[in-house]
Amino acid sequence: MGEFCGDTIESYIRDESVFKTKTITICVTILGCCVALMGLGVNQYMLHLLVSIGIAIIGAIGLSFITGFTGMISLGHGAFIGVGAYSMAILTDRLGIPFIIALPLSALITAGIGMFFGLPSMRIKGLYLLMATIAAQVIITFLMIHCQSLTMGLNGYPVKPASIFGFEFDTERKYFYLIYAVTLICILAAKNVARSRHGRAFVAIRDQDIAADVIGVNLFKYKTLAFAIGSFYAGLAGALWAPYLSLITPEAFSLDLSIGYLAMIVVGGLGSIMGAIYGAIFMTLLPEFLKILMEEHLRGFIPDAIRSVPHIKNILFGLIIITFLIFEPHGLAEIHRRIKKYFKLWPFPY
Amino acid sequence: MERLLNRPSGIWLWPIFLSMAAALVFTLPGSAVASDKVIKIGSCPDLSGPTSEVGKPFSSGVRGYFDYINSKGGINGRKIEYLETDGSYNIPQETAAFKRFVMDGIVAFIGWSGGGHLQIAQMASAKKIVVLGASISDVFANIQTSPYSFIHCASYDQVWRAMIDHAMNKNPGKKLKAVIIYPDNGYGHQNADTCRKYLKEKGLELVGEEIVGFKDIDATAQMLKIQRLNADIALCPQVEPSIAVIMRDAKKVGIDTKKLQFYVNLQGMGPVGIKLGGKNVEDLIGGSPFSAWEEKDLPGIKMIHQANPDKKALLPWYVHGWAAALVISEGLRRLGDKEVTGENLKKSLESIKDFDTGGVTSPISFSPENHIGGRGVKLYRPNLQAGYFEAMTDFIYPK
Repeated sequence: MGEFCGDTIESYIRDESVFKTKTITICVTILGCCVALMGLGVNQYMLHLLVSIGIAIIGAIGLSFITGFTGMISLGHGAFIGVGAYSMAILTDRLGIPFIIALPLSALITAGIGMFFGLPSMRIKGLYLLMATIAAQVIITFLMIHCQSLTMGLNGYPVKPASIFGFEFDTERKYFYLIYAVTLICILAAKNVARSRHGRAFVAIRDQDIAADVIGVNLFKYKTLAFAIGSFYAGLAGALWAPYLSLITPEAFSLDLSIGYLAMIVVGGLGSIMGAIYGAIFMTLLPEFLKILMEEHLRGFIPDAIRSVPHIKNILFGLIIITFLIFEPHGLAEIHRRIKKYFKLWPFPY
Repeated sequence: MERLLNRPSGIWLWPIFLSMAAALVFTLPGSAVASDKVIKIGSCPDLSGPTSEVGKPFSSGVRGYFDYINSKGGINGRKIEYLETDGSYNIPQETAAFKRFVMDGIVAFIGWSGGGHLQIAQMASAKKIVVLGASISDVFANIQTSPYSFIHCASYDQVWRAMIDHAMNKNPGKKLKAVIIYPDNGYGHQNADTCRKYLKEKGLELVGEEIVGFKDIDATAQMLKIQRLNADIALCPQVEPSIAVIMRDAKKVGIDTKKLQFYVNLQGMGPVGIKLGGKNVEDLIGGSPFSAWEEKDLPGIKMIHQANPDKKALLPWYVHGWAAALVISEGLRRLGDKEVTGENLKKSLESIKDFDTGGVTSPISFSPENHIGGRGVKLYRPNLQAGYFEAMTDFIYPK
């Protein structure tokens, strides 16, 4: 008898699959294994970049929930990451809590603080909410600097290396695998939240909050939940970053970091998990790529390039972002979708 | 959990986790060892950020010294390769730069921003790489937390002590009132902490503190508050643009800068500050652990002139960078034929006693218990006609 043409779904579980076909599943598995094995072969600098990318992905996914899915612009994300970092430092150092427990605990503490600063979202939105989140950034940074008995102020808070059941993650390579594992779990969890009823509620609030309210979506509950989930992820990113840096200072969690994360999700594509991932990778690698390109490869042409190059690098960085947004305002995720669509239909145009 | 892993397709997670578990067995420890012919030293000065006007001459000074030494045959037959990248006063970029240069095999690193230096000093201790920095706060010479970190001159602590002592000597028997005007960053807070500590030690009254950032272009509100405090001295850990703003606005609100003596440390004293501030900075006094380009009678400064025959003037920060490179080079020179590693360099530096830098700094001494190399500080006044700060004292040694 003839076989069916195309993909058939014969169970609800298959219908809810993250990856719709076996081919996609195999490809993603191979990609995942390649990234895992990459950690063996690359040097310490590349490992450092990969760790930075992993942490950026977790943070960007968090901001994606707040801004991308729920439509609430937040410039307090850097401060929330700082709360996660300092929570990890204080829990492991002063309270002696093991890393494996301190990690989710730090994220929960950050979620609580994020929910508190998300309360204004009930009454204000848009640029007004943006100002409220900037206030969160300023207040939290101020507290990090001036509560010296708790945070050691600008002298920095030393953080012990991450350790799970006696196994210490004290090298870049070991830390890369820890970050990789946590990032994978975070991506899966985010994907499932995004396609659950909570995720749909977030999108409804973003698109038409009044209509969402009319049909029964509890605005206060879901806006606060978005801040909670977003801050949870930010706290997780900070809690993972702190042991890697081994010393944290408030200067690392400034408004610049918040703007950087906002840029990540805008460039990557608002409202999608893949967009947050692409944006995190792009914005982490671009400055380093430009630096190496300009400083090392240009040296042969302009001997004193190191003096004139920094400004050119900054200008190029801004130009690339602007050009990118002009030609693809929906971000890298949209480019990915179009490429996928093209090859799905190839060689047919439609 | 079932939904999360999407069984049966959730099974795809296991190859990934197994690959990671297998890979964790293999680790490749890095080591900082120089090759036979070349010694690599890394740095991440601020070339485009808020302190770039001091970052650029600093890095020129470091490079200038290494180029000079290489032109004379290097150190013990080995050339110095100076690896440099723009840190932009950004901590993640500075730490990424450090990691990149560790991969390249550096044995020493010269840090920049206060926060970045702190983090790099921690990492450097783990990787056994010697760290010096443009920021010379005492916290960077903490042997317990950063055993590989050195300060190649007198620290901010000694600079502020010298200036406060000068104020007290000018006003014998008077209980002076002080204000501190500092930026709200690591550098500002470290210097402010130092000032507070010494003021308390000397029994002087701290009557106020104001925040003026590096990038601020108006300090009128802060100066109006200071005007009401009737202070005698103002201690300003600032850079040249911000001190020019402070002095301009102090005069604007009617503060008599002869009665309220403004002191600035080395980051704020330079020709840019004089150019921006003009007559407003005429009463400013600066403190620095370094001599100036204009003091060409000093053998060490003469060497800088010889290395830069085409230059009419070099900024104070050039001398700072030159001094950092000079101290590292002395440590490398004392290694002789020994293997050039970070660990050996650390021990070599700790063996330095009363090293004469030719007047660039006061004599340098380290030990396993002390990583602050110098104690001497010079005081400077602006020469508005000449356009630079000129020394009003030789090296003084605050207690």
